[in-house]
Amino acid sequence: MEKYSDEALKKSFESVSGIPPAVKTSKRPVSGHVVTKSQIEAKRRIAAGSDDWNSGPDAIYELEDSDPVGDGLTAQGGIHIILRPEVAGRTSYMRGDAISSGGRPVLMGSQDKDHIVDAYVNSDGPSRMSNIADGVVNMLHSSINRNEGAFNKTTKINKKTGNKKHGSAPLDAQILGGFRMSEIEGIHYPFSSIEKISSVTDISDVLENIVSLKEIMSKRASQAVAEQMLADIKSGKMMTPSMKSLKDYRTAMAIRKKYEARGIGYVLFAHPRGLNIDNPRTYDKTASHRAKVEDVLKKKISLEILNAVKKYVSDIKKSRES
Amino acid sequence: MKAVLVGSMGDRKLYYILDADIGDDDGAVVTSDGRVIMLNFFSLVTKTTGIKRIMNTPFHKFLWESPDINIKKLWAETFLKKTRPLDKRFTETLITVSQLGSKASKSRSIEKKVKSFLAETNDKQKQYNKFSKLNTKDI
Repeated sequence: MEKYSDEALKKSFESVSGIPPAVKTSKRPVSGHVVTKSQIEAKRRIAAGSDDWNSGPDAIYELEDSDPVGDGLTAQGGIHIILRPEVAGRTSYMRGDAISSGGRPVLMGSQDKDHIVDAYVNSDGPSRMSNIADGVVNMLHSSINRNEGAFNKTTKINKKTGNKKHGSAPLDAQILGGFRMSEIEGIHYPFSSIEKISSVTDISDVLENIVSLKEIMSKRASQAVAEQMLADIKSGKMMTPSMKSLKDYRTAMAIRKKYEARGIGYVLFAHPRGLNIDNPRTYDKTASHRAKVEDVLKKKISLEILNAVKKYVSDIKKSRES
Repeated sequence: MKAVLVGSMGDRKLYYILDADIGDDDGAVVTSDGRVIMLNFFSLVTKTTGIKRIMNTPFHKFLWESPDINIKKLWAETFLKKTRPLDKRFTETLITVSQLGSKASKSRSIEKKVKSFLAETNDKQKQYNKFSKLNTKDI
């Protein structure tokens, strides 16, 4: 008998899918989720409504707790591992959680409409009836409105209060036998994780000669003020938005290097607003496509510092006048 | 909400929600920055490796350990079907929280301030009472 109940529960679900209880844990399926084109389009539609989001073809969106791809997926970690197409041959999927919904998996490459509808609509778990209701309504909605993005919507009704809670169910995937390193096509790394660690990244080589004393004084700062500002810039006390972007960018590049050294094909960065941190135009819309991100950011840092000096001198002048 | 800390996943804390109804999210993951992610408890734990399980109360053992044939039905009715309330022998030593994440720490901080204010006020009240008694005696 298994030591833990969740392991027993997993085995019980897998036995329904045809995996005998005697199969070793290492040979059992590992979980993942399927992302469809319509789910990506749903995120792109959100992005298109906001000026500071990227809805272009290079946008990769970071998963959120409530997300068109599926709610709660962030709890399993933020890194998206993208598997090679051949893994689909031993992957099954279903709408909703494999365990809680008691879903009915269908093979990923299946063209059998009945099997696909079964995986989208039916389930055998404790919430069977509400899952089926959601599945049928979603199918009808998708068909009538030609809105394929609605297929995984859920409605939970609290029996005590009657309150409705709308959400999105993930498309749970089970990959038989797990996967090898060579089967990883690439990684989508969450930008928010980079921001958490980038404050310690060194950019002192850039800040060393980013502006001169003469340039600061040309903005009518006194020599004493200019010297103090230079010291603040070099020590990291002064932080401008582009300095932060440079720290984020360098941290991201170090992460990319680490994973690519392990043989991962590509490492891209999933941003909450879909921004492509490799594109120089993300930082400066007038930048050339061929420009290096670091060069664009260096130019911006220099401008931001001189603008800060200008503002400081102007504020001091105003306060003296008043 | 009644939640019990049942384990951790790295720097994330894992809670089981005792009073969730069937179909409701009965699990919560609280991240290091206080974000609360509500989800289906068993769906998460059957997918995730590296969960450090807390096993120090009868409740935790009942939740995590695979039930033997005698209590298998009881386990399923309690945790999966949610048709049976948690037995008293499991709740007696159980520490539950009513709020999670940054909300909880905010509420703890307010509670601390209220307690400190009350303690201070009580002291003043005591001092005032003592002072009043002295005056009465003097008169």
